[in-house]
Amino acid sequence: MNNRLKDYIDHNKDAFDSLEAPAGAWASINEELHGKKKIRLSIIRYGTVAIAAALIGVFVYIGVMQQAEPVLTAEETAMTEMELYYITKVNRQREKVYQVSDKYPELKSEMDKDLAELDTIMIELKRDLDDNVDNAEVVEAMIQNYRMKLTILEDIMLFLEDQKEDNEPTHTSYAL
Amino acid sequence: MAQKITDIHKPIIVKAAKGNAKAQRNLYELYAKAMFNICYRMMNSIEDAEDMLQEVFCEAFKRLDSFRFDSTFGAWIKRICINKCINELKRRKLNLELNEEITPDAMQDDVEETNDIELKVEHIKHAMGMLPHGYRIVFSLYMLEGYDHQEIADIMQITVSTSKSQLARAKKKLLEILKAGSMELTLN
Repeated sequence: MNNRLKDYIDHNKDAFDSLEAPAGAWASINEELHGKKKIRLSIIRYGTVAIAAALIGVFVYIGVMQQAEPVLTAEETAMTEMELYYITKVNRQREKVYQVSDKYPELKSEMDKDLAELDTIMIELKRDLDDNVDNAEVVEAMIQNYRMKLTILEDIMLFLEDQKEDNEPTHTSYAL
Repeated sequence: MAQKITDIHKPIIVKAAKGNAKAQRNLYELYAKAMFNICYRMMNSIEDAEDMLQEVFCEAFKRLDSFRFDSTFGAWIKRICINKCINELKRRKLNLELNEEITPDAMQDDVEETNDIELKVEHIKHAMGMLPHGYRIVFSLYMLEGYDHQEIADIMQITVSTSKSQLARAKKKLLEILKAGSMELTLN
């Protein structure tokens, strides 16, 4: 029988590991290892600065290229669609963050500040684009700008969800 | 010289050892479920397993720079997990009933009486939860975690024969519980 028992357990090993790790556990571990919120905020902050620097680099490059050679052409409608797509996505995500960030006014203002910086860059990009809508580098920079906004918003959302899970009881009931 | 093991997650482990939070999260996601189930089997409580899981990963990440790839990361963290749980149980001064030796006749398999028991994972898990701590731990380590008696003896600081006797008793007790459960089902 004992061999039968051992064989049975060996053949059904995965079924013995049926419990899922508690949802909020990583947040607690991460907090213990790396400290609280400030780290995530500072990552976002440095990330924004890095992107801003990269985009300024793109401006300079574009400026040089515009003087040196003619720019490529692209359809204006495609550009509008792209903008509409990202603006909707950013606004939706921003709305979600606003709905759950009431308890974190500091986080909210940091986020607004970061997004405002990216908006300023976007205005510059659009000004550049006014000269020629076909400029692929500017379009690419604009897409990167939108993606950066989304990344910031997603990171904040993730952080807020972690905090929420931390504050909720995560006990799983276990019974036959 | 210890043999070096090629761990497929080596790049993540190296990053995690340097404190990279993303790599640590990746490792956590790879091993959390397995470690949580081990913690549960050792502690026999969801709440305690949750606490232990957190402690295990914190300790593992803090000590990760001392990991030399002499084993897989999975084996290494599993050992941390088991040691942590045993230490916690000892700290609580729970009676692990690890002092008894057993005579060879008591270790014989109870073949005639138990062959008719229908084995089911959930029933076995439930029965394991009803075993005394010492029995449950030796049973888990041997039957589920894959350690041999020498390894169990090292982990639990007992003799090999004590490990064997605990396992024999644990199996016997578990089969009794399963049998009682199946009789109950038959009667109902």
